[in-house]
Amino acid sequence: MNIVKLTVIGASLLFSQTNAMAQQSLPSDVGVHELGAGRLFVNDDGFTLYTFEQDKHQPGTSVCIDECAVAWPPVLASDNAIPVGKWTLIKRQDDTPQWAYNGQPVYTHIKDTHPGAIVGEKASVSWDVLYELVETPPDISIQASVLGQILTNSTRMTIYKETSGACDDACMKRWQPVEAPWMASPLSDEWAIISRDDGLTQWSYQGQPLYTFKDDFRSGESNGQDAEGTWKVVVLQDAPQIPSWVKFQETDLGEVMANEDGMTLYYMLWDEERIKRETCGEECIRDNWDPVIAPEGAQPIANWSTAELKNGSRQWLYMGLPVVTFRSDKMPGDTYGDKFGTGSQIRGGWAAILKESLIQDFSS
Amino acid sequence: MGKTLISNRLLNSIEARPALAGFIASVALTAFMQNPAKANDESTLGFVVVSFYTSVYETKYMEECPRGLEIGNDEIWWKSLEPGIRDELTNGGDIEPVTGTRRAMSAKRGPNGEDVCGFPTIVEDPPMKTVEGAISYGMNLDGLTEGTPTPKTCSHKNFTSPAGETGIDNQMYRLLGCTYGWRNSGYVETNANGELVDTSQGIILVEISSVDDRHNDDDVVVRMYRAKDVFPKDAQGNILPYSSYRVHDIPGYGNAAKGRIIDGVLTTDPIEAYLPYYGNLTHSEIHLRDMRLEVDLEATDERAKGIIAGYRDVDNFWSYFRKGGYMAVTGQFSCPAMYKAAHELADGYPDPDTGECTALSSSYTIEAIPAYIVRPESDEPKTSAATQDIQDTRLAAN
Repeated sequence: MNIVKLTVIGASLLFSQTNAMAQQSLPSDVGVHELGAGRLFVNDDGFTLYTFEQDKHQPGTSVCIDECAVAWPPVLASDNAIPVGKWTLIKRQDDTPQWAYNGQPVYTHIKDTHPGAIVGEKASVSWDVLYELVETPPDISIQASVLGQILTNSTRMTIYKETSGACDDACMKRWQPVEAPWMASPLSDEWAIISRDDGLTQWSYQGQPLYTFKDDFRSGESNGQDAEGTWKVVVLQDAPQIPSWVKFQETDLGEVMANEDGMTLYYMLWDEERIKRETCGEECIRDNWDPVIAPEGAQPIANWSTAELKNGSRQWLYMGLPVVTFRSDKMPGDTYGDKFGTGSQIRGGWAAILKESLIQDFSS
Repeated sequence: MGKTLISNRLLNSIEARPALAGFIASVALTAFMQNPAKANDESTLGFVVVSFYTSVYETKYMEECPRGLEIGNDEIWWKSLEPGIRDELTNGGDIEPVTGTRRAMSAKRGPNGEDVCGFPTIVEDPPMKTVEGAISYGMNLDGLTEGTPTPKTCSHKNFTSPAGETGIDNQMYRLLGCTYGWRNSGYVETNANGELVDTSQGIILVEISSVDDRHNDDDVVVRMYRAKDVFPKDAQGNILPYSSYRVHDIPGYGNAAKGRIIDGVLTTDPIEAYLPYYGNLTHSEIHLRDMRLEVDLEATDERAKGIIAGYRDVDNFWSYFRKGGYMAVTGQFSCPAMYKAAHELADGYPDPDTGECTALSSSYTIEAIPAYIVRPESDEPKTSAATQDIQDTRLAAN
C-alpha cells in the first residue's frame, strides 16, 4: 500500500464557501437547483435560465426583442421588485422590468417544455445556461462529457477513483496518481492531498485518491470506466437522462442513440416546411421516415418530450425536434439517413442523434 | 472498452475467431521485405489504408472521353438564365459557384424551386458524359470475358486491363471517369483523401491472419475494420508506419475473407463487405458485394498497393451525394444526370421484381502502410498487458 498519510486541511474554508453559496440571496421568482457540478438557476416554475452573449455589449439593456424574445422569453420582474445581491433589474424596450444576473438579463427558452429541460444549451453558441460551476483545484477542471460533468487533469485527461480504496504496485502500472503540486494546499473537506510513500503528493476527492488511466490516449476517452469492477470516472453530475428505451449503438459516425432494436434515431434539423419545399416532399417523407411513437402516458424526461401528431398519437421529441427512424436502415449500425435531405447544402435535413449530444457544456 | 465483440453481421465468416483473452496485437509487416528471415512463423499482418481512390484510367490525350468532360450543375443553371438575370443573381458574376449562396441557387432548379440533388428525377439534364474507352483498372467480377447478362448481372460492356486482361468489370469508372471530380487531382477524391489524412475519419484497417509465409501462403484470412484511433504523423505530416490502431467495434465490419499470397500479392475470395468512408464532410459507408482484394504487399519497401473491387449498391453510392449534394459544384456534375446514368449503367444484382440491376461493378485503388491492429476480444477494458503485448511484439518483430 503506497498511501501513508492523509492530510485534510481547510475543511472549514470550503464549508464556509458552501454556506455562503447556499445563503446567497435570490429574488423570490428565481430558484436554484444544487447539482453535483454546480448550481443551475431556474425561474419560479423550475425552468432553466439563460443569458445572451450579445447583451454583454450593451450593459443594462436587452437586445433580445421581437422574434428573439418569442424564442427566449425574458424573465420579467414585478413592478415593485427590488434588486437582491447579484440580481438586478433592467428595463426592456417596452419599459417592463427584467431580472439580470451580474448585469446580464436572463431568459428562458421556448423549447424547454418542462422543468429539467436544458434544450437551450445547444440552441446557439450565443446563449449560455446560467450555471455556476463548483470550485476545483487549479490543475483540475470540470469537463463536459457523455457521462456528465467529470473531473479532468491539467491535460484534460479523465480522472478516476478506485472504489475499493486500494491501488497496489500492480495496479500502479495501469493507473497514474493525479499529482498535486508540492505547494498545493487542500481546498476543502472534499479536496485533500495525500502524501504517498513514493514521495508523490496526490489529490483525493471526497476521501478517494484520484488517478488517470494509462490507456486513455486522448482527452475525452474513458477506457478505464468500470475496469475490474471498481474503477469509476469521477462524475460530479450525470449526463441528462434519456428514456429507458433509448440505447446506444456504435456506427460509422460514432455512437448514436438507437431504439430498442438498435436502429439509429434521427432528428430533423430544418423545419418540415423547408424540407418539403426543397429536398424531400410529403411523399418522400412518408416513404422514408417513421416517427418514433411514445407510448400512452409517456412522461417528458430531461431533453426528451412528446408532441401530438395529426392522428392523435404522440411522437418523441429530442431537443424539441421530432425523432424518427429511417426505412433504408436495415440493421443496427446503419446511418443512411444522416444528412438525408441536405440537398446541395452542407448541413441540414435530418441528422443521426449522436451520443455526444448528451454533452452539456456549462463552462462558459 | 466495455463494448460487444465485433460481430460478423452477414454470416459469411469462414472460420471461428481465435479465442484469445483480452486483445491481440496484429503483427505489422515490420520491414518484412527488407528482412524476410525475421518473418514470424505464424503471424498476423496489419495494414492501414492511407489513400483510397476510385480507380480511373486516364490517357494522355483523354481519348477515353471523346465528348469531353461532364458539365456541372452550375453550368447547367447558368446557361438557363437570361444575361440580365445572371447579373442580378450573381452580382455581375462575382459570386463564386462554390459559395453557399450561388451553390444553393443553382441547385434549386426544380419547377417549384426544389433542390435537384434532393429530387434528382425532377428535371431532366443533358445525359452524363461517360467513359467510352476500352481500357480500365479493376477485376473480372462475373468471371466472363463478355458482358452478357447472367442471373447475377445485366448486359454491360467489359474493359480490358492495362496489362491486357479481358473481362474487366468497372461500370463505376464508366460512370465517373469523365467527370472532373474523380479524375487525376480532381476535387472530390483529392479532397476526400486530404480529409482522411487530416481528420482520421473513416480509416480502413486490413488484417491478414493465419500467415505462415508472408511471401507465399495459400491459406490466409483477411478482415477489414474501421480504426478508432487517429493517424500518428511525423513533423512533416507524413503518416507513421508501424503505429497502433484500435478497431472501432461496429456491426458489419470485420467479415472474414479467405485469401492467399502468391509472390507477395494478396488476393481474396469474394465476400460481402462494408468499409468506412469519410470525405467531403460526409460519412458514407461503402457497401460492396462480391468484394475482393488484389494487393501487392511488396509494391515498395514502405507501401502495399492494390485494388478493392466489388459490386457497389447504387443506393449506397447515391447516398454519398444525397448527403453531400454540394459536391455537384466542386466535382462538376449534375445530380439528375448522374443519378440517371448510375441506374442505367448498373450491371450487378438484378432486382428480382423489375430485373433492373441495382449495383455498379467498381474498383478502388488503395495504398496501405504497415500497422498494428488492436481489436477487442472481450468486454474487459483495454489493459496495460495488451499494451505490453504490443510492445513485446514490436520488439520481437524488430
